[in-house]
Amino acid sequence: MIARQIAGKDLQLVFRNRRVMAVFVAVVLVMLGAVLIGAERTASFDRERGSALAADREVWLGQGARNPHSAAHFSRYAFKPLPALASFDPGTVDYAGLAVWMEAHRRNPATFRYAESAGASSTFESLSPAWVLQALVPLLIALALFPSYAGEREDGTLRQLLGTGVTAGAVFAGKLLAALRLLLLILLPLVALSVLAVMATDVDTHQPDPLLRTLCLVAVYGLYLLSFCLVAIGVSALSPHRRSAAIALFAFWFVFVVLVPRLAGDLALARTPQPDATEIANSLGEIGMAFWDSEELRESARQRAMDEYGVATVEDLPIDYAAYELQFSEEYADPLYAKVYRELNGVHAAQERTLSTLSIISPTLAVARLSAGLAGTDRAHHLAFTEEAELHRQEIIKQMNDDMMLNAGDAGYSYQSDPAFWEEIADFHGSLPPLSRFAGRYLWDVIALLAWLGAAFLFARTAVARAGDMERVR
Amino acid sequence: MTTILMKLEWLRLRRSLASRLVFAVALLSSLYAVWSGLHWKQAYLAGQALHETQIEERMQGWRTALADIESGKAESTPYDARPMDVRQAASHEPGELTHLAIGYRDIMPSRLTLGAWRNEISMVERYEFDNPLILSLGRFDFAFFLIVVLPVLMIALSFDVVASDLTSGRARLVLSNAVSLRQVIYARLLLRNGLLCGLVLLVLLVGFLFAEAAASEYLLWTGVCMSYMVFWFALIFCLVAASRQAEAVAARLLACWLVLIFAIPAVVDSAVQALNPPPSKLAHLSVARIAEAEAARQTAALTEGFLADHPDLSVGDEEVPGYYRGTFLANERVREYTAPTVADFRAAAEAREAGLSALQYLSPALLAQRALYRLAQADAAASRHFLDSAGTRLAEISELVGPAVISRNRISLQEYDQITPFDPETLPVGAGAVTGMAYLLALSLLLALASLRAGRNSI
Repeated sequence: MIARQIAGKDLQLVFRNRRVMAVFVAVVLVMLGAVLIGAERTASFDRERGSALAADREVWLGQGARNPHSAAHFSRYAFKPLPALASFDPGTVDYAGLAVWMEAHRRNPATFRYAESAGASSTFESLSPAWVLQALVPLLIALALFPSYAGEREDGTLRQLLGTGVTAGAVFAGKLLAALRLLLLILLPLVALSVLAVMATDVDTHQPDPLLRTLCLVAVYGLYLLSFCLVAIGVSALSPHRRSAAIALFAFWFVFVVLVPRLAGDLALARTPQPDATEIANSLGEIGMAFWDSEELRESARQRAMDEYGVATVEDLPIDYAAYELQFSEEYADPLYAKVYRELNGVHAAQERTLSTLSIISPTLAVARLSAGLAGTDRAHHLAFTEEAELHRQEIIKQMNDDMMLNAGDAGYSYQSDPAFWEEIADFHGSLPPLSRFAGRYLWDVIALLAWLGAAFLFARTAVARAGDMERVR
Repeated sequence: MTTILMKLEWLRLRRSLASRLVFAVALLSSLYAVWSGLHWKQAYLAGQALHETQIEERMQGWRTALADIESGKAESTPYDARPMDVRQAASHEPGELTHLAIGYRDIMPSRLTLGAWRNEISMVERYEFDNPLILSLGRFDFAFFLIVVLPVLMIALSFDVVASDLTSGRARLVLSNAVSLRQVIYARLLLRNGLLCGLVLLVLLVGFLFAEAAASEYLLWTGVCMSYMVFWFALIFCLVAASRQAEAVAARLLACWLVLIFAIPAVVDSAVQALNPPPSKLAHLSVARIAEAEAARQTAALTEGFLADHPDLSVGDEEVPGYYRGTFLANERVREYTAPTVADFRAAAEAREAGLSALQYLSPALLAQRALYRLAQADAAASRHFLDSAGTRLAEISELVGPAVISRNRISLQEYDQITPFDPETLPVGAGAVTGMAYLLALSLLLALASLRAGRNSI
């Protein structure tokens, strides 16, 4: 009962504070802007993807009679599908490529990074609903809650309250209830805006389990912001004045929301350096040529072909041997390409492990990773796209090699496929993977976030008990 | 009296743990920023050297083969020393001061291979191997430290200079001498921020030790840094002089920091992008592929047309593979077809640049960042200029080797030796920095004048 009264009074004080209300309105307006920009951007990316896919198909089908291997060099593009939730949290979308060229002999990385042509400044964050929740709302919470205890102490009302026999625990419960109600009031319009925007975002590709993802996002941001509320209460309880509480909370925000995430990226790179692009490109180039440069490998291909078809010489083969060799070289290279990309992925995973470890220091890091993961815009989802594109590449290149192998006869490279054959080469539509595929990946971040919440609760509880003792001693 | 005030302040600073902590954070984080930038630059240069060496070695072999064929030491083959294989490395050299402001350098393409096998899309070597999450977090370079971190440290050191004197009763004691409160505030703020900024400038000098820039670049860098510091000093002085409550001063200063450093740049960026969206790269790709496909279908007709336009050409070795000329013609067609979209990209980028140039005055942080990135040649304009220059050189190489490729001949050693190393001019860096400095200093002056007025009213 008393806790409810304390909570009611605290909320009333917050609502009376014009500064807090002005900042709240400003945050809602910024959120509205971020939501509109995010929805438009995602829809526009998807429109571009749709047009590029249609153009790619048209060019492919219209290439006329052509040698299939020549067509395999020209090949097709895989365009990355974007989830509607990208309008809430673009994650790594701007920094990961949008398309993969699925050409013969090579496994290419995703190219065309939006950040290169956007011209956004790299020091400042770009506006997104996720950024508003990760960076601005904690500041709003600090602004609303810094006088929670410190204000009462400064005004002498805390002493009065404790003097009437109210326990420190009841005061804490009241403050916590006020913080929870405040959090609900802040989150409600922001979440409503975000959900509406995501629902209104027009994208072609269906994202599996959107409700689960949205609920998880709400839970993650709820826990994250609740831990800020608890820290704010604890800091306020330990501060003799409003002034010191406000400064301490700002310092906390600056270090954990601004400084640590930026330093974390640098530290991750220092601990696990990024291999040089030229060296990786060289490795990929060498793999592409490995078969053709090795007489031993070419001989084993010849032997396998003769064994398969039960003939004594290559000339006796009932197929076009050049095409057989092309497919053999692809199958030889595929696992080697996979190894290079697996190693690169290992480097990136190690970098992200450093970030995960540092998320024990800054909950913002954990929340950013979880948020992008739940939105389907993190590196894991990007990787799923590139791997799906690679499987598609292997399939369509085999189709073209098989066409030449079975139908070229003696014509070899002069053989031209019928234009109708291009219809048989499937478009890459791409799919968005379900959340369950990555569930284990985010476990550490969930643990870090829960640990933060637990630590924040203990800190607030201890700070409040200490504050109560101090007031009684005074 | 000012000297005495300064000495007193110096003593207080030495005794204050919080102040020492602020100085330690400033020293360590600025030194880390310089080290991090140097580390990045070292890796960047090593990668570039590898790329250039590979192409140089290859071209040395190509040149030797051509010399042998010309001198009759070796027989001509359809594959050796073909003009189609002439290639040149183009690297976007970092500026002397790029280690202090990495800017766009870690996301933009910087290593290209120019030659007839390539077009403006394929001339860029594969480079998208970085972790996109790390890229999205950005780098902790000196520019980030200066623009984002330093103002917070200045605020932490300054916000309570009046309030602490008033609450401790020291203000009354000091003011009983022939000195005004404004003089006290000024002296205290000047000493605190002067020492902090002096320390940062010393670290900047350490950063300069690893560069060989022109004197004017050092001066401009220092000038931009100092004028940004002066702006924050003036803003702090203005707000500290206007109120005696540390809480209010801190709240206002931090609000200014948040608005000037995060809110305005984020809104300006979003607005400029929304008003001038870049053309779709995927659409650009589609145009290039249409051109390639068309060229593949029309190789024979295009070859005939080319030869008709160059009646002086006699057809050389018929054994040279047909895909040499096919690829060359396809690349020529790609250049022709994509010219309008390339122009659109340029126009949109210029419009965005113009928008940012106009709106940068809303935020000193944005202004300083743009000036520093330009001085470090780490802005988007420097990358665009590099890519444009490389595109021009690619066209020059294609023009040189084109007739020989189509007619299945070779270029002469003399013609090959006429190809000069790729060394594009860098963009002029001074104008934006000087304007930025002048604006920041003018703003600081206005704030100082405002603080005089505010001081009269409140102190």
